[in-house]
Amino acid sequence: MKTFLWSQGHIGWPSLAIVVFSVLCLLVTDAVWRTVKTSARSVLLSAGFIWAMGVIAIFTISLHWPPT
Amino acid sequence: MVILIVQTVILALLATLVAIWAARFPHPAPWLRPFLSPRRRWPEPEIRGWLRTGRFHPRFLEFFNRDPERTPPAQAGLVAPADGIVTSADVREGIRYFVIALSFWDMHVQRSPATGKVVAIEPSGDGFMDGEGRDFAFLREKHCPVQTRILLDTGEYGILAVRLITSLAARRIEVWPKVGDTLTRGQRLGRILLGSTVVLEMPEGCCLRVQPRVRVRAGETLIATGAPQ
Repeated sequence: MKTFLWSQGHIGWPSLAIVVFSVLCLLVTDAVWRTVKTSARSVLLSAGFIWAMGVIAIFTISLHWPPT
Repeated sequence: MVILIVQTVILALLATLVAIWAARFPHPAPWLRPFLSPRRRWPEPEIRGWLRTGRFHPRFLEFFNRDPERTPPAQAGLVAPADGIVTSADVREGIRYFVIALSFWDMHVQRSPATGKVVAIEPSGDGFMDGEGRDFAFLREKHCPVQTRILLDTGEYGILAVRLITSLAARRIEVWPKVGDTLTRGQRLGRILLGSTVVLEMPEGCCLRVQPRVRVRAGETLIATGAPQ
């Protein structure tokens, strides 16, 4: 977990990736909510699911990185 | 150290984006506006807020003041004097009142429904309303309407009147021709600044070509044909 948050004098790449991914998710969700004719609830549920999958994927990749 | 600086710059950029997004919410963020339809680009609550403060977004004003060219149809008949939705076409004492409601996103330059000579321009405020009574639904719905009535002698259709109606909040109506000028069909007539209703008074005998709830375009949509009997 130490390398996840902080590694070799800089922010851990996985945590930075999660922050970037979360902000992109937020902005894309807002754009989809404004442009697609569907309920806000379904947009939020879809965005929440995609965000959770992304975070799990980043975390999983960080556990097995670098590949041996 | 270089990596930490790059990461800090990335985080600062993201924080700025989120701050701008949050400050504008629920209205769209500036980078999203160009990709949205006009109604979503400038939502009604945001426009009403600008109306209260008098400080409009410059891009909205640019959009609102657009004045595109229009080509009248080849077929003879009266053309719509304004962009918008037809809300009613009731007849009263031999005159058909063809009412067009304009939204904030409609083009606000009005056009002459037929070729004719301007015989009178009657600007009027609330006093005119009281004299006329509030029997007309299109007047009753307005809060202290301000209106200008332009009378056209068209020959074929007799005297037509175009009313440009706005509320006391907006209260600015521009009429460009003067009494005695001859207008061609579809020629620019004037503009209501943030106004909301245009009424064409025509003889009952004209054959209507559009029904209420239909969207019409100023100078292009044929709304009535046939000279009155």
